[in-house]
Amino acid sequence: MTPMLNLDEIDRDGAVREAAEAVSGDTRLSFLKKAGIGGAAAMSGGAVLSALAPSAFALPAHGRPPAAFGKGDVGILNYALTLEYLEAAFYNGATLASLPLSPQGNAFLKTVAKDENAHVAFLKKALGRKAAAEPKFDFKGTNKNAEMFMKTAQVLENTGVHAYSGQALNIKTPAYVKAAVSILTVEARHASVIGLLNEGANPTGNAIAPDGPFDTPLTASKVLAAVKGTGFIV
Amino acid sequence: MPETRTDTREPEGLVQRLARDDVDRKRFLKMAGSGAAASFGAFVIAACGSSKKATTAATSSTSTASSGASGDIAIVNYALTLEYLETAFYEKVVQAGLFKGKVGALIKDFGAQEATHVEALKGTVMKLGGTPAAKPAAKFPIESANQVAELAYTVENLGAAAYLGQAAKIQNPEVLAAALAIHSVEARHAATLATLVKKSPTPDGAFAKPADMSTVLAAVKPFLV
Repeated sequence: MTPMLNLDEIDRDGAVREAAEAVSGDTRLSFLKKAGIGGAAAMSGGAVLSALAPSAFALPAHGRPPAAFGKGDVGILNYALTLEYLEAAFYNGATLASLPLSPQGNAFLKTVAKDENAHVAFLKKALGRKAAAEPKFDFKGTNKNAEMFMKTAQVLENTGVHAYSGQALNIKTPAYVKAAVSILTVEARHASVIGLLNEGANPTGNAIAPDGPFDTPLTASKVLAAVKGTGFIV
Repeated sequence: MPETRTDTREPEGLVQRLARDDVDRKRFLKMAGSGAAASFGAFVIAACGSSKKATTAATSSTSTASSGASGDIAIVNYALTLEYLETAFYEKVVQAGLFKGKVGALIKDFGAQEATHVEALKGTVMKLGGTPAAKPAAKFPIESANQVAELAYTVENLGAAAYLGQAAKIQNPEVLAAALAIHSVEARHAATLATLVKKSPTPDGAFAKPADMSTVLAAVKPFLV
C-alpha cells in the first residue's frame, strides 16, 4: 500500500499513521495486487468477485458492527452515525480553529463540514429514539494544525468509504441501502478531493484512489479497531 | 454539448423510445447482450423497470427470464457499456495529447482504471452465465483541454449516478459488492475532475442522487456512433 502520509514530525505517537495503514485494507484484492497479480487482463470477473467479497463476509456476522450498536439495520446505522459524529466533530472543531488553509483547503472544509453534519442529522432522524449518543472526542490537536488537519481528513474520509461499503450489503431496508450508497459516494468524493489536495504538485492517482480501480470494503471490527487506535473517542 | 443527467425534464420513457425507433432497439439490445434475455420486454423490465405494474406484467408474461441472474446480467452489461464508453473516451483524450504533467498523468490513470472495470465487468457477466455486451463504437468531441475536462467531469458524474441508480436492483450480493467498489471510484474520478474544472465535487450535496437507466442512456446516446 502506498504510504501517503508523512507524519513523523507531528504524529508523534503514530496513531493516525497506524489508522491509515489499518484502513488500507488487507483483503484478498490487495493481497493479489501485492503478489503482482491483477493487471487488467489478468483480473477476471471471478477473481474480482471473490476478492471484493472479503473473507469476513463468509463469517456468520458478515463483518457487521458489534451488538452494542443495536440489532440489524439499527446497529449498522448507529455504527455509521458514530463515524459521522466523529467526522462532523472533527470538521466543526477545525472550522472553529480558523486554520490557515489554502483557498482549496478552506473550500474542502466548508463542503465536508456541511455534508458530514447533514449525514449526522439524517441518521439521527432515521434512528429516532434508537440513535446512539454522540461520543466524547479528543482529536489530540489534529484539527488545530493545518498540516495535520489535511492528512487526518484524508484518513477519515477513506475510512468512511471502507466503512459504508463494508456494510452496504448487510443492510436489509431498501431505503437505508439507497441512503448508505448515496452517502458512500459522497465520502468517496471527499476522499479524492483531499487526496488530490494533499498530493499537491505531483498527483500520482494513489491518494485520489488509494485502492486503485476497486474501493475496498472493510469489516466493522477492522474499522473500529483503526478508530480506536487513533484515540479520538475518549 | 450532450444532455447531462442534471437535465430536469422528464426523460422520454425508454420503452416508448425504443418502440418508436427500431435502430435504437437493435443497438440497445446489442449493447445489453440480448443473449441473456428471453424477450426484449423481459430484458427492459428486468433491467430498468421498477414500477410494481411493470414487475407484475413481467412475472406473468415471462417464465424464467425475470429471475435475479438475468436481471443482474442486464445491469452488469449496462455498466459494461458505460465503462467501454469511458475507456474509449480516455483513450481518445490521451491520443489527443491535450494534457501534460500532473493532469496528463491523472487522465492516464483514470483511463487505466476504466479499462480494469471493463475487464472485471466482462468477467462478471460471463461468470453469471451471460454474454458480455459488445464494445460500442464511440465518438467524442475533443476540442480543447478545458472542454475535454468538463466532458470528463460530466461523464464520470453520469457513471457514478448510473451505478447508484442500479444498486438497489442488483440481486447477487457479489455483483453488488463489485458494483459498489467500482462506483465509488467513479465518484472519486468525478470529484477530482471537478476540482480541476472548478466545479463542485459534490454536485448533489451531501447525498448523491441516482440516475435511472433511461436518463443515462439518453445522455450517452450522442456518443454512440
